[in-house]
Amino acid sequence: MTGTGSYRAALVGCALLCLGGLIATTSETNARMAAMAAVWGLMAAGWNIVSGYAGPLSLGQAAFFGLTWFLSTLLFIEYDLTPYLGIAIGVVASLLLAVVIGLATLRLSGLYFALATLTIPLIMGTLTRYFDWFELTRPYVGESARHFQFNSSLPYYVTAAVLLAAALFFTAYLQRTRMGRYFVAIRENERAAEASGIPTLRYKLYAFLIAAVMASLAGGIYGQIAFVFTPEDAYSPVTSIQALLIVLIGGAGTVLGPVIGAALVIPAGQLTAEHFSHLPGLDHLAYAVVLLIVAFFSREGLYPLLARGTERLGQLLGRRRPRAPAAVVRKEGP
Amino acid sequence: MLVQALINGVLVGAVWAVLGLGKQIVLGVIHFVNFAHGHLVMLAMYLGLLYWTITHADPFLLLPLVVVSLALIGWVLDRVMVRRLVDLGDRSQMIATLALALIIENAALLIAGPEPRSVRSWASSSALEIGGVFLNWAQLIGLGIAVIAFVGTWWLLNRTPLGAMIRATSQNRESAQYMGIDISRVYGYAFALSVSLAGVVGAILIVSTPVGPQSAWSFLVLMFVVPVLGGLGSIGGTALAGVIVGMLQVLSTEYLDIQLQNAVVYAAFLAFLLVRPQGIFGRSTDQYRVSV
Repeated sequence: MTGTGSYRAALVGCALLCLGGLIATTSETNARMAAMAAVWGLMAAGWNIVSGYAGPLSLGQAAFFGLTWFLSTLLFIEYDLTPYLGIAIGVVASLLLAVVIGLATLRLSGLYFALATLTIPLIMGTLTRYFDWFELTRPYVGESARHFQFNSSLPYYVTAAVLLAAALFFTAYLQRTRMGRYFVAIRENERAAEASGIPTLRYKLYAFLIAAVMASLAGGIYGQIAFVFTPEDAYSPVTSIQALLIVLIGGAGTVLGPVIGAALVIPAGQLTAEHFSHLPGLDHLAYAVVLLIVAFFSREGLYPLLARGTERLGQLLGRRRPRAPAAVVRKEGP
Repeated sequence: MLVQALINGVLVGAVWAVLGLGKQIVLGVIHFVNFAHGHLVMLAMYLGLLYWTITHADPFLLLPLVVVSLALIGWVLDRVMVRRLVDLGDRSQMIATLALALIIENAALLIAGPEPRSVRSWASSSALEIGGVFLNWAQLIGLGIAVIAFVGTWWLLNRTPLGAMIRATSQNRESAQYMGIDISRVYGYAFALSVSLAGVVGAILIVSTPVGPQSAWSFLVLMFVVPVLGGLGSIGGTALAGVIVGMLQVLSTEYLDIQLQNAVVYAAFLAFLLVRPQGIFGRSTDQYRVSV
């Protein structure tokens, strides 16, 4: 994990995003797909910080994603508030929520945190339905930058891609800072980190807050693309699971993981859902199978697993290459 | 009115206590995190529905069949995944069982469709009146079955050789192994027992509650709250926590809104967690410390 290497990875990520932009200009369908992939990449980049770098397993990124989606839509409908401000309010609200959840559960073992994060969005969905917000539709005002509303999906893609690029550079920067090293130390062995004087609770909370901001920005943009808010979509467990699926496929604890994962998962998931629309739930079954493979065979995710596989294949074929600097070897905690 | 609410709380809570007990065993003995426990309850509900559709027998008579089916499913799951996951760490366990939950949910969606379904039973629509208090028959029989499940589990754990092996393994895995206990068999039995208890819960619930592919997520909150509230490792605490949760649900239905019942339970629980993280009867949060 050398510093320059991680910046190089962020640059590669930007190149991939430019390539995505080229694909997005070809047709509206492609632009929409690219915008979705970039939004989910941003969401996944947040999960990557808290669960890929710092360690605690968050299963509830949907809470922040949904909250900002909801607030930006509601404030637009009720007060004609521009979505830019709506998203900003959503980010602040998400931060407050993350502080409450984090302080209540991060002091306990990771299991409590994982369960709490998994259940919070479900409760938020219930509350939303209780207040009779079953469906909120963003009014159509036509092409208007002030209302963050466009007839083509390209501007959405550009916004999401710029934010995602910023997230990648932030991740790369984080690896060179004290905070980033504390994150990895906590992930590798929390007790040892605590013993060496790292305030683990505070740093786990920082990681969770960073993740909350990214999830909430992703949710805000997603809301503008989707137009219609429903609590079922916004606070679904699958929304959270999709974030971890993307990172686990692309490689957890790596700068590029979220981009590679999103580029693979989102188009594949959407195409499956479209082609097998007579078989609802098939895409989620496919997600489940991938998750099982990751759980059984690789903690870091599918990409490192493939990389190891090709390396071994290369050795079998007799090509003796010096081993690439592999990802940090992780030991299971006690 | 309050008496009625409190009694209803006990009736509802008894089922949640069994739900928590199943989770407790798998967490306490195997140190295995099962996020699919609620989905196994839902699977049991669907099986109860299936058997009822075929036989049209009284749903309560079908309970043993459902429980035996779930025990078999638990045994198979242990062979296929749990056994391999035990040594892979909590993170893999959480991800794998979350995947299992997704599989059960979407298989239910593919096979049974999105609409909620229910069985028809005399018990859910008739009540026993004692001194102005109404006791729903389905819930009353459910309470009886829950008590039997509790006493049976207690007896199994404390009065049988298998129970001794399970407790020994729970206390110290290595020592138990040195004493000649076949750990992987004990794990298999404990997991099958936990899944059977999920079967008991599902078989009781299907009599009075409709089931849909999304039903399981509402159990998630309860299966999280009950064992932790009672204190990990405490069977008595689990029973008490189940009843407390049931009462909270009934009271919030009575005074607020039925939709809010799990939100109220959860808010109360988070507040409780800040004050006493080890639960009512738990000794320390470190005892079953699970690192992720």
